[in-house]
Amino acid sequence: MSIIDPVSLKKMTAGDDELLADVAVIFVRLLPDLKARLRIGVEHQDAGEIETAAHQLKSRVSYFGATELQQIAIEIEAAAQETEFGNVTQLHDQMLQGLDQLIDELRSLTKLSLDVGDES
Amino acid sequence: MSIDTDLVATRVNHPATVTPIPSPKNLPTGRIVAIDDDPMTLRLLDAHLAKAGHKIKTAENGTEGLKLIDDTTSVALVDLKMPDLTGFQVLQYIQEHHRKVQVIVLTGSEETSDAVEAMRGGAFQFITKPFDPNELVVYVEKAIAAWQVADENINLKESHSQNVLVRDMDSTGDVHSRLMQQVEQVAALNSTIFIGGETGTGKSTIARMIHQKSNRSKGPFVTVNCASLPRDLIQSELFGHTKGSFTGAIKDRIGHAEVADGGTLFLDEIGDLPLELQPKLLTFLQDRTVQRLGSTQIRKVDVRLIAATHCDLASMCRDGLFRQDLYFRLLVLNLELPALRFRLGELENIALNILTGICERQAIAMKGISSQAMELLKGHSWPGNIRELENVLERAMAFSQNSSIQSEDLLFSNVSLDQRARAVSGFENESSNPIPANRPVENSTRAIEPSVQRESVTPIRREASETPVSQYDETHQSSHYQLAGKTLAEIERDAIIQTLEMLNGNKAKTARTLGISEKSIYNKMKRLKITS
Repeated sequence: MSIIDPVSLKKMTAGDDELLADVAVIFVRLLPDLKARLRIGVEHQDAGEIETAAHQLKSRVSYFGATELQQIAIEIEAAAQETEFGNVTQLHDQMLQGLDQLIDELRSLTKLSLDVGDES
Repeated sequence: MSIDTDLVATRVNHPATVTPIPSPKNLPTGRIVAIDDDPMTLRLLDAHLAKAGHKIKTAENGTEGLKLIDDTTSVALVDLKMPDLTGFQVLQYIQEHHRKVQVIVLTGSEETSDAVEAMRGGAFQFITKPFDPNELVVYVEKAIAAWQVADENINLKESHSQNVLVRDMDSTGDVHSRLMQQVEQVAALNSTIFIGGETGTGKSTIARMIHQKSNRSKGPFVTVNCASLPRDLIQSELFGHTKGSFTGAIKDRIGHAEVADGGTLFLDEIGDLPLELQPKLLTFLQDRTVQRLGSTQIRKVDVRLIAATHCDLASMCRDGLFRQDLYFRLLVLNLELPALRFRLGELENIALNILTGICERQAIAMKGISSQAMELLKGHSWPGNIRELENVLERAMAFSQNSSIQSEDLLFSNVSLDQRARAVSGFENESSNPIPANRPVENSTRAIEPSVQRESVTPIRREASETPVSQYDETHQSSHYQLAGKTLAEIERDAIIQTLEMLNGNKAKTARTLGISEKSIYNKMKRLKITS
């Protein structure tokens, strides 16, 4: 099942392939930093790091119509705000899997390699 | 997606019903500035607005974004959460310096409180991410139309007498007319003004009015609410800071005192200013100089100060909670705003004036007030003063189904809000009944004479002035970092703090840069008491 909602994506990019490619490249370029912040936040139960990373992820995945990932980000952000880390690890794992799928789908849509760099 | 609040509803249509409003031909459309720390958002905004034929410039933080705003800017799209300035700070700056510019707040937050605060702060619209590109363009074009109208209105206002600006409190009555006369008098001077009065009596409105009537009216009017600022940030907010002066100070930032240069600085709720910061304000009042936190440079500013509080500062001085020397510095010219319960003779005029304002703002037909409803209004104690009356009337206007407001449309609060209501009010000392309306204002503007000062206030504890302002203030006074003489722990602590700041608080990058593990950075931060 696709993680990207094609209708939302088309609306957001106005069907402009060049714009989609630009946005996808920016997303992939910024992703390692966000993933690192989220991972380190989860590992150390650092609410500030988790909240910042989840908040940014929430906005960015939403532009692709990835509502499932957006919801996970919302739950992670809320957990961080309430410093309830009970299921954050599980949500984090779901987020990482979802991000991998999102990038695969973006590669398919843009025909770009979209190499994700190492966590910075 | 946009959050629909009452405030929003008064200014724009619901997204479902919005239709594009073509800008009037031959009118300039201005330039759009988008400020957001997310490059993806900026790329999308740029694409959609450029496609709709608009000129747009973008910035990834508030400081850079404000540099882009000038007289040609019609609309600013501003993110709420940014690393240097918050969207609210950017909004306030724009309101004070570029009042024609229409601000659309764009954010990932769906908090209604954020939307309400943004709209109360003067935002044109509040839109949550992911935005609908079509709606965005419609809102931007509506904002451009509002900018065009504002442009014309400001030109008209400037060609008229300044009485136009007194609209907010333009009611009749002895107290009011005397107050207005005193506002005119003090506005012409350049002295510090202290405005006292219970919560909701209109202190902020009077302060703004004084500014608008003064020869500083073309300069900024900057409001700082001392009660709402985080205690540990208040010095930075007021006087600014330099990069690296404390954790989180990732860039140089000017404070409100500098922003107000050439205009008026209004310190609301001055009674809530922490004791340890009061010497800084005293220095500012004496010298009109500003020293940013972490900087050795002293800057001269031309600022008129207006301070206000609902607290009894004289009593606070006696209790050692407010510096006596600062108290006297502030009370050069004193305006005391009477509580609404002492102005019941004017209540009808005040109420009708407020109703007129509500109807104008919301573009709805004017309603009267039935005699029974007016009796109820006059019988209420008004602990929240004029602000409470405004709320009661706005609520009544919203729910009233008749041509005039009826008794059943009125909903009152019974909460007593203000310590001052029963404390030092000279009005109540003389009589438990409302006193003649002109009495409180007769003596409400006065220069404080030394004899009065000595009688009313006893000396405060001296240790207040000796309290260190902040640890950072001292450790970062020098712009040159000195290793010699520091302990290794201090050096380690500073290295971590500065690297964190350089890397926007990113602990993973900080650990790599410093050549330690992520676990170590957490342990060191804990041991060295470094907060995120």
